[in-house]
Amino acid sequence: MEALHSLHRKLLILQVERDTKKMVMYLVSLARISMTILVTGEDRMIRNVLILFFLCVFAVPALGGETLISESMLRFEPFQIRSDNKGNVWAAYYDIGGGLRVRNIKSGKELLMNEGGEKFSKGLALNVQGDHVFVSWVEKIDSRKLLRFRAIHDGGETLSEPLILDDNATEALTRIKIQSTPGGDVIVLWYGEKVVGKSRWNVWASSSHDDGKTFSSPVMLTEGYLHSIYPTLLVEGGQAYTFLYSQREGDRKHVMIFRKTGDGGRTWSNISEIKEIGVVTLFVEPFKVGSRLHVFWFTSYEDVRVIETAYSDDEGDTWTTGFIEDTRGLDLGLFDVAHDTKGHIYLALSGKREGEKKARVYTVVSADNGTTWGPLTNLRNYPYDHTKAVSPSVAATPEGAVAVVWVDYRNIRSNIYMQYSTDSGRTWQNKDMPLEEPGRFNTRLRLLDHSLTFSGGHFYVLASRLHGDSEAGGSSLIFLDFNLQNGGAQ
Amino acid sequence: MKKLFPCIGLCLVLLFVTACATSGIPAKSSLSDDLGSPEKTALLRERADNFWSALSNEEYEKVYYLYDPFFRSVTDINSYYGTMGKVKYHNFNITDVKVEGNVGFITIDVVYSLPKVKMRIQEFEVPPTEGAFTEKWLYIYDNWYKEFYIHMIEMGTAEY
Repeated sequence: MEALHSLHRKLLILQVERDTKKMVMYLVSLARISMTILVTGEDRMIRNVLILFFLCVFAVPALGGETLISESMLRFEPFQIRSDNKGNVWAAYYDIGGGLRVRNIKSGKELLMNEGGEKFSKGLALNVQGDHVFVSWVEKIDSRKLLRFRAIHDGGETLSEPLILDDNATEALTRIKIQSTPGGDVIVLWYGEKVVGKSRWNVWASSSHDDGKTFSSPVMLTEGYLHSIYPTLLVEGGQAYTFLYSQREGDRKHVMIFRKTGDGGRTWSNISEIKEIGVVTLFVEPFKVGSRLHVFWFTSYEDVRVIETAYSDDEGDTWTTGFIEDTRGLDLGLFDVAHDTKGHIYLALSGKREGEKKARVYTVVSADNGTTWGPLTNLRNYPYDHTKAVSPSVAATPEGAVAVVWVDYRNIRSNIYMQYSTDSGRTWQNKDMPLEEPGRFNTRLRLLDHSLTFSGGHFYVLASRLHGDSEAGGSSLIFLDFNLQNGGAQ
Repeated sequence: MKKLFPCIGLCLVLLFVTACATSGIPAKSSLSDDLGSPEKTALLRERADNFWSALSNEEYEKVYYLYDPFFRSVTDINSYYGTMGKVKYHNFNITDVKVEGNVGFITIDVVYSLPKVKMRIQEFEVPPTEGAFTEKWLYIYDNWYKEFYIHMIEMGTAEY
């Protein structure tokens, strides 16, 4: 038993030091010892202790995997892809040295945004507005946190000087949002951990009215509320909206709150509460279809999880809320939303129900701008459930076509698969389409951000691909693109 | 010297024929999209037979390369050697082979034993004993591989 304790201690040290190779060696040693004991049918207590050790140890590949991912994340993650309706497609990512790079996919032009940064950069928000590209990130210098902003103009010809939007006054964290208007307004919204009153986390905004050349001082958007942790921002038709998951100061109940601005962020409306809600674990960006303003969130009431919806037809004065009932009880992994201009809303989500071992990818479609919802539909065409399908991302065209990409493990290695509908989500293809050679690579989509975008008749996917079968071997950032011309995918 | 030319010529012809033969062999196509054809099932049986033959014969290098690439990517062969040889496998019989896409199931009867081994103050020994179980195999791009999996905690190195 002492030997086992010793091995376990070494494993914990190695886990901290992130030495995967040695960890696996120790793991194999434990496997050998346990095999011997199991084969001999030795003492039950020893067996149970071994199980406990294995649980700790095998958290090592699992945690070690996550840790290694976060190490390799420094190379690319977070990465984002954005496009506009003029065919501009841009990607932003971190290189291996921590450089934050922005790349025009079509021209191949690439710019380093945080050149000369004093210390470690992290977090990322990217927004494209015609020939302008706006990027924001956090630079941490010891305990000081700077919120940085930089703009690209003229389609990549001009790079503005980097700005500091906040010098530790809000203690900015990495959840940052940027939205802009064609008229030159740029709003940056983020959450920070500067304690204000009893509130540990608060959401702040800063705005520009000259295409990101100058910015206002940060304004706190969550006065009177506590612990707001999921900043959201939508700019549409000259209005900007934010929805925030907060707690009331008085009774500490969770509420979804709402604010808007009609002057590019110079002034914000008073906070209004949409409703009291459960515990929110994931959030979706709000969106607007026609004059209807929507927001969805994933929540749980008394431990039963469900996607909740809210929409307003009067710019946020009154709200209609509801649930997507088919998602009730689903252990949701991730979800993503897209819409066209005719009132079709497409939800793509991954999750599993109680008793299921592997996650599936589903869609839910509304054909009446979110008033009613169709059934939860399993998107994957595969007869066996030994493997999982996760991380869906969805994008729609104005003409009623919609495509969903996801990470599928049917080939054991993770591959990007695609499904599409050309009739606004009523029917889908009989066969899922791999976007790469099945089983050859381990490719993954970015979590918690759109990995798929549509621009100029093409769908673009941004993904990372491992160089082997282990996180330790490094990875490459890859683009995939396809279109749905001539009735099929190309 | 005159005798040398025919030899050189023969070598060149052989080299040419070998090169043609090599380049003429079509690359083995992936069966990743195959849900369970007889060909894919037969290949699984062959690979499982190779694995258990190698294990019975203590040919651990062969065994190592029949494990899934996720396991091999984090465990080098020398580390693996250190874990082997304690349990002896005397005989095996594959009784069932089932393929569901890229996951295969081999049902097998095995006779194993554990020669006397001392761990600290305790000694263990198992005489030749019969066992039967079903193990999982994974078809990964070009072939079937045995999944490295520890049943005690229901966890392996391939995450799918």
